[in-house]
Amino acid sequence: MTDTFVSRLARMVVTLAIVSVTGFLLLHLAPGDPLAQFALSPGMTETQLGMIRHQMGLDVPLPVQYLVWVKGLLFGDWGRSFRDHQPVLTIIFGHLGATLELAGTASLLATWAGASMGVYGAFRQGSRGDTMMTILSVVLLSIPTFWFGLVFISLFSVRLGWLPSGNIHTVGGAFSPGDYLRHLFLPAIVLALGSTAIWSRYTRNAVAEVLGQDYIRTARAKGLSPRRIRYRHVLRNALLPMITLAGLQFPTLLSGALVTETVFTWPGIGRLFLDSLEYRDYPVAMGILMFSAVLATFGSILTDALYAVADPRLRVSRQ
Amino acid sequence: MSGPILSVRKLAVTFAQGGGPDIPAVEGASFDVGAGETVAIVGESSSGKSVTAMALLGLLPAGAGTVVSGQALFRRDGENAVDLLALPDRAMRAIRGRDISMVFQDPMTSLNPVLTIGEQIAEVLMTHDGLTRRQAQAMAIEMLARVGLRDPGQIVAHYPGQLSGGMRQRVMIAIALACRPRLLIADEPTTALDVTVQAQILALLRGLQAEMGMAIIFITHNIGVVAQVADRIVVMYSGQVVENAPVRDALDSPLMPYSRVLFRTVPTYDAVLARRQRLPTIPGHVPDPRHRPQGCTFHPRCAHFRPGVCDGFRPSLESARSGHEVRCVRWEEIARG
Repeated sequence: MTDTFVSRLARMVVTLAIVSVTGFLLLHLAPGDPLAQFALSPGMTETQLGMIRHQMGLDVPLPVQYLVWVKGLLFGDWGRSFRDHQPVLTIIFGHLGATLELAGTASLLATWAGASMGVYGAFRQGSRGDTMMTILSVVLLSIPTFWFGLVFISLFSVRLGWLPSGNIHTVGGAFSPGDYLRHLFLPAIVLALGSTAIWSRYTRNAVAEVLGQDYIRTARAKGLSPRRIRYRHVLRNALLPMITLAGLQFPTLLSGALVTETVFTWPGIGRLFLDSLEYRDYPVAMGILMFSAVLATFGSILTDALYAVADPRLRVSRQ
Repeated sequence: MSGPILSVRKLAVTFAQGGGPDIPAVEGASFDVGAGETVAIVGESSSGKSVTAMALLGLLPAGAGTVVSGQALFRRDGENAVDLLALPDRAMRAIRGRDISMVFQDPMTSLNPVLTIGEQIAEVLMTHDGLTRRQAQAMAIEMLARVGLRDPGQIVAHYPGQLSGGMRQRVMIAIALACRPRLLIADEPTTALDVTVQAQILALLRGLQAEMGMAIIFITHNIGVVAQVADRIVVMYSGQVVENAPVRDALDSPLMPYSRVLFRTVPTYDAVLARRQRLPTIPGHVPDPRHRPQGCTFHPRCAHFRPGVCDGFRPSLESARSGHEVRCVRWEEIARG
């Protein structure tokens, strides 16, 4: 058990190192310059620009910049934003809540709707409902998130005027839970659509596979009620592959939030990331990258832990 | 014996396949099982023996164009007989696992991998006998001891993955017998096991039968096993019963040409090693159920085939002597030699 943990931790460190080097390189190789915003200011001289460059630490070779940045990272100093000079971690945590609310709601919706669709389809394989849901899933998967976002806005906000088209609450209004939920509704649904389709396909296959197992025939031969067979025997086993999916879906939701947050001007990490890229705000962009990477690796470790809890076969082999 | 506890009459099972012709898996199978009796159903793969068993318990995949017809009268505790093939779902569930239970071929895959052994035994008792969880768990330990597992108190908390194949088959038997059924259907219960373990499981089944008095339908293709356990043999060939006789009678003087060669294909130590004799084989294959031959379905492989006699019409199952039925128009000639 300790061996597994240590090797997992080592792998996590290697993953993060690769992410940091790749991210750092790509970001600095991309065309554009953080100083561009200053260069256009009237009366800005070369000398002044050089001073700013020095302040930002951009006047030393790239490997040195990387090492300085990594050293800061290890000691809890993630740098400061080029734009407003706020500490990176403060900015990230300032935006994290909004993203977690959106992604969390979306993932609950997607899991619930997708898993229900999948279970329904698996128990009625080949039925009209099953076929319809297969088609629906493929359609949902083939259409990009931003398209749904724009269509939903044009339909529900512009045409029907039922729901707001963006922001986390009415601008200038006082905060109220109802107002917040109305703003959350559209982006959460849009973000959930793609994962709902994935959940539905995945659940259907997982349940269908369990249904074909010998031990389900045994359960029927025992004269158990269909209800008990469904929950105790089928779903309990189908849950295992679904835990894996939950772990994989988590980072996907964060990247999906990138698009959704932009479309709906949701003040979360995703939009912050796009903004920081636009301004070549290296410290913030790298900070978000590393933060997501850490979340993703923790997600996979958590998945493994959950798996071990749910599957006695894994516990046994580790004894 | 006070009449059979199970009378199967003209059982037929047909599977529809998308587009193609229907597949008649079992055609008009009839046989009886007496209380406490062991009936072996033998035959090659695709002879319809497993489908017969699954049909009796209503375990064939529902829908999908499966058609079951005929009658299977089952007598529970001296009550009036019920027709298993006509029972509504709920009534059938009350019989499954309680009055009739089943042990399957592969113990490695027949137990639920994520539930403890104790729970898998206890749930039958809770469903059928209305025991509380605590009572059922205690009973589960008792059953594990009865099927010869050591440390039953520990094994209840184990998962199937922690047990060997032989132990798992003992657990399957414990599950099947927990509610003291009147009839146990064992579908090749030893086929997937090592030879030494096979012998142990057979001995266990016989011991428990002597103790609890249930009847057993023993499905197998292993004639050696049949001789050890059965009171009566039902030989099936391409979906039909072709011979039905008491075990000694059937093994000593089989009448149907198929049974005659089938019983000779069993290797014995003397025949194979000492006399260095080649094992007899039956030429040809079991016919495809969609294209069964005209007349006697065995005639293309039969050494006693007579053109015009055997390939004209399907012979019916006729009584050759007391308790011995055979499906062959030429059995008398053949028996005379």
